Amino acid sequence: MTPARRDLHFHVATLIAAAVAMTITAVPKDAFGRPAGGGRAAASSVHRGAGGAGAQRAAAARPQAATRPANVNRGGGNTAYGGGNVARGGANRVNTGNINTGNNVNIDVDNGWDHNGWDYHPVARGVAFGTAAAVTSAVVGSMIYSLPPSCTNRVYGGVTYSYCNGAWYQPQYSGSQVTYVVVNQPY
Amino acid sequence: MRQFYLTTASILGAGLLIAPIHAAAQTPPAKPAAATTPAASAVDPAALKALETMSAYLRTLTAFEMKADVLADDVTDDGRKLQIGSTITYQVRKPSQFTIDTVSDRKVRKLYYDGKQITLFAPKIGFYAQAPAPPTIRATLDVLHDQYDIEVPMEDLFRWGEPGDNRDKLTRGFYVGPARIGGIETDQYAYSTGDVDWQVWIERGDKPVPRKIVITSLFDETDPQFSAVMNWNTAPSLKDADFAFTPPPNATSIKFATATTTATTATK
Repeated sequence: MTPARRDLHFHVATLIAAAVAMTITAVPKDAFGRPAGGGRAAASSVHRGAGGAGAQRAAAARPQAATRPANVNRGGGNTAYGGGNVARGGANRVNTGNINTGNNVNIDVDNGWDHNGWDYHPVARGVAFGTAAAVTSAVVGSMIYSLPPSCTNRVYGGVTYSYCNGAWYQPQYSGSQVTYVVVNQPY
Repeated sequence: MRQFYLTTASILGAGLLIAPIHAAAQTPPAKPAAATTPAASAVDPAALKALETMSAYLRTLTAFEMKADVLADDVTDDGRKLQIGSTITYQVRKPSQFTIDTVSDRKVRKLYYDGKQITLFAPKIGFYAQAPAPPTIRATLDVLHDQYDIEVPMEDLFRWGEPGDNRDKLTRGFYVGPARIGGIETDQYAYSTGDVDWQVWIERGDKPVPRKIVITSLFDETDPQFSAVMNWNTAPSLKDADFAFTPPPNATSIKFATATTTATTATK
């Protein structure tokens, strides 16, 4: 997925078109500072290029600079990014209804349970997506990007769990982003 | 994604047979006839030479510390760019040790590679994960990328001057002019590779390190940018212990969700 593995003087657009067709359920790449979960961001290395942070974006949908309309409508919600949202589907549909990652600014944050001071991110919390709002609706096996308040880490059988008001989660790294899988009570 | 990897890898494999990655300086790489583009002539030999000089110097460094002030755009669904600042610190001993720290107001991560395993530590939330790693930095970068979906920012530092550094993929390259970065005299160059435009400011003198990099991602309609201003220590005193991860008392171990397990979760 790197430029090294890709363009090789072939027509890039052709390959990208093929890529979009094949990567609908792609797992997003996650650079250190990049959003996981299909977030959009600038590539952080030339080597990886679009194979990194931007792997699943609608590259083919982006007009060449020379032909791009002078006034691209970027205010119309998702209309200008239809391709992008399709391509991002794989990541954002991880969840079984209990979360909505409609805005990805919240998903690259160390949202622990200390929401004071530097750990409080108004943008992230303001949209509130990606947090298990109601533990009773958490479906076992689903994955969330941040925990509700008042959780503690507990280790059972050598496995780390996060326990939040009766609900159990197993943290993991998805890329460099910590995500939480809803699990059954471990003991 | 897997399918795409395989497909593109196959394409690359075929391409490599035709086009040797390492072209001699100022010699256009051999290309498949059908893929010849006029853009090849748009790489100014002086710009290519500057890149090669920088690469050759980076390759001579057996150890270095590099601290970068980074500004990078994240893009919301509705196309708004949000600029996120961070500091990224490299400590490197070739061929098989590094730590890479990223610190922003939103996220803190430290990646360790001690020659045998990788550790990704999130100190603010006390989680770390570990996995076995191959014996070289470059192979480890590929494992991180391919198996764990982790990409190392500015990994070009490990790639320039090495086989597969994409030098022959340049479609544009030219000299912009002299510039001072933090008071240091540099020369600014601009390049295009695939779907990224990028610029590098190379220090003048006998230590031609990159002092600044800007990468513009053309694959996204909003053209998000990654910008890093870099400070170098090319003679650091690093020891093995600097690359060994010792979990703090309150840290607990978690797993890497590999691409495979993430995909499995996604289907549930």
